[in-house]
Amino acid sequence: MKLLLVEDDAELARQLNTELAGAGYDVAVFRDGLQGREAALQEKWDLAVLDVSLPYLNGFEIVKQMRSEGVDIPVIFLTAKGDVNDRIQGLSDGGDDYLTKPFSMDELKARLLALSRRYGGGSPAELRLPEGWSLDRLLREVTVRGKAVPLQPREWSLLNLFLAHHEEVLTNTFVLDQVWGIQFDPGTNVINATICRLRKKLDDPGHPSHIETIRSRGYRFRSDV
Amino acid sequence: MTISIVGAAMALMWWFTSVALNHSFDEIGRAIIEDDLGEYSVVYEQSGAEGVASLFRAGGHDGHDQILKLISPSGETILNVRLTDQPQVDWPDIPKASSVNDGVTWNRHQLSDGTTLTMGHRILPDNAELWFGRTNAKDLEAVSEIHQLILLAMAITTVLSVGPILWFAGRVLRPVQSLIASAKGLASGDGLENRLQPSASIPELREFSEVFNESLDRVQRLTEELEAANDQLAHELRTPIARIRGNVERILSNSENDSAVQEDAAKAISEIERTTSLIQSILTIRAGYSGAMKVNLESVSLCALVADLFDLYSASAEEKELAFLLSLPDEDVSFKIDSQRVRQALCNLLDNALAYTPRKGKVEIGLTGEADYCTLFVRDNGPGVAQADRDRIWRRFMRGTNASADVPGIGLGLNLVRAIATAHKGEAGYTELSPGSEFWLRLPIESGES
Repeated sequence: MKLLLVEDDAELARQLNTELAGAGYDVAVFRDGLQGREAALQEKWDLAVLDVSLPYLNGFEIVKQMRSEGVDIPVIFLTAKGDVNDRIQGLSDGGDDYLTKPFSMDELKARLLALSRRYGGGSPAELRLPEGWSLDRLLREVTVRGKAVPLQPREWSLLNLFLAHHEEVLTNTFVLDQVWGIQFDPGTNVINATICRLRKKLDDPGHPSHIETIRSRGYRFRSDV
Repeated sequence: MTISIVGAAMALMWWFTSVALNHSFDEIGRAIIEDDLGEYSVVYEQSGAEGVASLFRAGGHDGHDQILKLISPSGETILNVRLTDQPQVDWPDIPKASSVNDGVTWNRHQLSDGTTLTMGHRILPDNAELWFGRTNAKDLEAVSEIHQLILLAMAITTVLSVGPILWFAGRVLRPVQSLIASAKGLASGDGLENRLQPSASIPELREFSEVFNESLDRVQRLTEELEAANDQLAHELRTPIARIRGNVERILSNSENDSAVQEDAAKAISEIERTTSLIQSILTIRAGYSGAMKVNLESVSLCALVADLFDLYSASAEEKELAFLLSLPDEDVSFKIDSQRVRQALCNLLDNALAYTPRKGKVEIGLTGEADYCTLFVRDNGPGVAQADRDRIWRRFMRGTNASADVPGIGLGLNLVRAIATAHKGEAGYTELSPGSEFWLRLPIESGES
């Protein structure tokens, strides 16, 4: 997947390039607003990651022009401003998501993946279920080793998020945003508590858990344990 | 104060004039008696007792307020007119020898109606005795008339003297008092944008206010510059922190075989997260107070919002074995609010309640709706907030004295709550419960942007 990265900070650009390339993206880096706009309008991209404060032309302006030229790709803003006002403006100017610096690379990758799937036709990603599992979307039920397990709404949403981001590290902030709709850190252990309940309901006793806790990063779902 | 001084002066004046008047009328009364005795003795010499009697009658006083008694040289009473309404009052018994030639012997008698009867006794040239007496009833009438006039004069004087005092208090003291009040407001630290209200009537005060306000302008300008610099600094810090975070994350993921390095990297990341949230709080609070916080209003079911938060914190409450209660009105309340901000405010309150309520205590989150405002509250039965801290805790970087070192925090939470309330044109406050605390957020139905 071709990814356009416009970031004027050299060190951040280098880190992003390394991380995103490591995640399988084909990254091209531009260092100011004018170059970024040129690239965005002239070439064909699958995704764009734009810094907001850029020399010559800011990220919001680039997106506005992209949208008016009919460039319809997922765009994530990176910003040092981080104000909710900016977030609202960024989204209304045509951006799809908004990350405040400093951010976690895992978070950026999870959001990029979520966005590219949304753009890829809106169909849910192909789920890789662990062996012996099946989902009933209508009943919101998961059948594990032949036994139907009823889930509470949040547990159901969280499980679906994990399944959609199979093998990926999901950060606390990403999970809170996607499952609870909260864009700040409320400082509760709600995620941990919900994950504990999911583990109790779904895991095979005596086997390692499907939901892995990764210290300082977040959680990862693995279907084969 | 001034009124009582004026009152005391008036009372003193009243007492002094009364004493002086009584004394003067007493003197005058004696002079009249002495004159009359002289007059009667001349008439007696010319036309005898008959003449005295007819002169006395001609005066028209007989028996009312004047009395007369004439005793012949042989000791026989020729005339004796007593007080008609107090006949029991008799002449005193005075030995003839005690009145010297031309001298008058005096005698006084207190009458039952409050007046005083003054009597003079004189020996006439043919050795007859003449008594003449007079009550001071007429004098008292005159004194009382004078008193009335004095009262009237005092009333007029009071009005004339208190008037200027009141005028002074109104025109001079009131502006000074209002100046003091507004200076106190400034000193207590609420609103650097407030200014002294100069009084138009007193040029000196106006000048003082202007000079004072100018220095306040300067302080405000400096504060704003400092705050702008802080905001700028906060923004500028984000990019270097992002670089650091990127590298530390890299170390964390590349050190899966070295647990010591992992431990260090994990600690570094949690510190970075703390710093980031601190910067975010400072910026949000600043935006809230400066009016720059744009609230993203949408119609929200407050019952659903509160129930969501209840759900969000249930696990934490359970872990602390708290009785966690949800209290909602029977009918749903829908308000236009910025749900992210309001949730953030309530999360801060819940965080505090959970942190400060002892294990197995009680925490309650709830909502009450009125016609034009709603109150979102978080109650607990924890230790409460010390009286001295109730204002402090809302200020930036101030924690209550009950704040424990075990509870992380730098004292921005409640300030953020208040900033969010302000951005919604609402209020945030604290109510003491016995035992425990209630923190509340009151939002008007017309929140946010006007």
